[in-house]
Amino acid sequence: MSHVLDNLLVVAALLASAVYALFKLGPRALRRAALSRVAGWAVRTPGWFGLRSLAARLDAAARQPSGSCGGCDNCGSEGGAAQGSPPTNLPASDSASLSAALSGNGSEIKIPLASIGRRQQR
Amino acid sequence: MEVLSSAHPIPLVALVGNPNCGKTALFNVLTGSRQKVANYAGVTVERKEGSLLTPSGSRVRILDLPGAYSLDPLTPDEQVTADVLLGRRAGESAPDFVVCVTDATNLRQNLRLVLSLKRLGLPMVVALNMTDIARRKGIVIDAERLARELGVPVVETVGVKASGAKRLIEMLDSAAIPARAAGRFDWRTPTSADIARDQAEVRRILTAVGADRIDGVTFSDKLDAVVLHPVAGPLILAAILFLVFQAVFAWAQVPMDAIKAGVDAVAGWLGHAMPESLLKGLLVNGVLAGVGSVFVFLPQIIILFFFILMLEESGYLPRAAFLLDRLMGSVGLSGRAFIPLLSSFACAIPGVMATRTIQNPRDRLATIMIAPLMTCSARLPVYALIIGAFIPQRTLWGGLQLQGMVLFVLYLVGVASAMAVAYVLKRAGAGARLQTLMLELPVYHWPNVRNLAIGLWQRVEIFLSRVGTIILALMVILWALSSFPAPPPGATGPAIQYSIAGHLGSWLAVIFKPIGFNWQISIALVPGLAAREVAVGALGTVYALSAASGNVSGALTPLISHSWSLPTALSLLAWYVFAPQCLSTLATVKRETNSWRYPIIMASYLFALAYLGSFITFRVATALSNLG
Repeated sequence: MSHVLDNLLVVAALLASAVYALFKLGPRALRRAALSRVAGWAVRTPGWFGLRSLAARLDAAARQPSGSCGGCDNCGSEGGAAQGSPPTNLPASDSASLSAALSGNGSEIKIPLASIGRRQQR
Repeated sequence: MEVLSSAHPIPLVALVGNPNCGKTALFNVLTGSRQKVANYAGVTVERKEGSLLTPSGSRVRILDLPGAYSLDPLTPDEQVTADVLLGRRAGESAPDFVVCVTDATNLRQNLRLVLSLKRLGLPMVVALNMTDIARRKGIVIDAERLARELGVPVVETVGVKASGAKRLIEMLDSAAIPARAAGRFDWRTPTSADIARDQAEVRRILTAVGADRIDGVTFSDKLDAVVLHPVAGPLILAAILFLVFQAVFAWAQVPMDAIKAGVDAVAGWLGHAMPESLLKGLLVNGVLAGVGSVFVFLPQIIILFFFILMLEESGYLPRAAFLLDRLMGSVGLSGRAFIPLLSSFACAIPGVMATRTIQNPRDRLATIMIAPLMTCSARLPVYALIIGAFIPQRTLWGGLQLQGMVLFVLYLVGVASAMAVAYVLKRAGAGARLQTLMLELPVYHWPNVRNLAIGLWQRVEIFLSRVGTIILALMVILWALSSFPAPPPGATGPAIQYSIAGHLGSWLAVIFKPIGFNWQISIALVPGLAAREVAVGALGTVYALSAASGNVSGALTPLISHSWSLPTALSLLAWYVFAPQCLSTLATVKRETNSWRYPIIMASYLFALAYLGSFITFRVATALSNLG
């Protein structure tokens, strides 16, 4: 293998690793923004590229919370940790409505510490 | 099935029921999911959603809600259930249909929630779950009569069998789920008179369906007489935990050696097959040395989780909580903190989330603050590496392994530190007042092989996923930082000393020198902030680049045993007992407390403890070795 190709592979691996690490360990807002942006680009491509389903999945992934550790993605993920993204084998209308319903859930639960664990005032 | 309005054309069906009645097992059967199930209350603390395609082709959204004893919530997880059912969750409509899951072996307790849900007015079916266990115990419930008495359909289910939800699916398929105006409920908090009326109604229904029998002394009761004995109980608990840690070292040796040999063979082959190049350096010193160093600990992770899952499935864990209640109470924690703290042995993140089952906010906060001190599975590779390098493989009395004993002691130190911090928090007013522990003890049963296999496979997936993604990415970056810039002409030291990572390590070494860390350890701690086991991979990469020969993927253990002193090794162990080297945990604490204040306090106190603990350990060990 030529040195040029070797070096190109190393640079590619390094770039991919850096982007992945930033993506996983960086702020969640950055992750969501990046996925939404890429989904936006994909959806604007001509239909014959066949990127629409990829765009839908990226869009769903942007809404789905996940752990930064690269593990089970189950740390506080209430927005459909089980099967949160719309099933891809659904008709488009169903998929869209399910996606809309899921997005309406709010991506994470917020329970202020001060207001939990108290019996409702009678 | 009738399709609802355009806003929600896919009906939402909620699984509701008492804790530990098998909702999540049923959810997994209905949706094909693999959500965690265990034989104790409080496993599910968050809503989970999946979808079901019925035989007629209709799509239904299935919602698994945390267990609740009533719709008058006492804990945050019950609050989630009540809010969803009452349509109080912002941006979320109430479910269109409710499947009230009941434990057929404990109908007396479960029916009160059924009556509350019935009053709510939502369309409902009662799933009489665990009917297989009930039959084995001689409990036969007339489902048709129960349906007549309750005035709602009743179906029998077995959540742990793939075919156990067949009748429920048929019912969901055939039932016309009516469109309903969301958010309109005839609900008020029950008074004591309402509760008394419900209890009388439950007794009447139980008599009518022939389920009013109260069992005498069962097998579980007989076993509990020993397991919960004030003297024998704690001894049995200590023996079980002790044996688990023995097994982690004793059983894992052969598969670990095989993995090491495999990694070495691949590294050796690459070393011979590829010419000297950057790519070879990346593959051998970055990927194989780094990722391979972590990968070898897979057998130990599997063995540890095998035992944890066995204990979870059998129903022993709530007994352990009961046994430790007095100890926990003495340091200001309630017995309810046991399950979150136990979950933290796998990972602090689900442990922090599981604190939602704790009623008192101060108690919950105290439990969150100490959860990272429990020894999570990510620490295991670090501990195992250092123990393997510095503790001889010696067998003591009765065939006990010294390495396993040291690991056991490290876990104990983590627990003792957590108790000490909880005590300090109690003294500072952050802990809870002593509360009575009320805990439902499930019936013992043999672990379900399918659940066990799924649970183990999930842990393997999680570990391999971390190794193959974030750890691999960080090792590639660390390799680059450790390889560039190249050493100047005439340089005599290893190339890594002249690299970016080498300079960073020498700066950090100034901070860590008082606790005995060299520059290689200091470098490894930085990527190790992402997750603890990354530090092992980082050490593999750093030592690979520091070594004269390229292949150290399998030889990291002897390498560190020669280049570190025993005080340094002990100091690093002390560091990892305390240090919050996990960004995900801190992020979860921020989310659960809805504030940056607590993760900042947590990180500050844990880093301070880590530095102090390492400093004392290093100085004492150095003084002792000088005396020797």
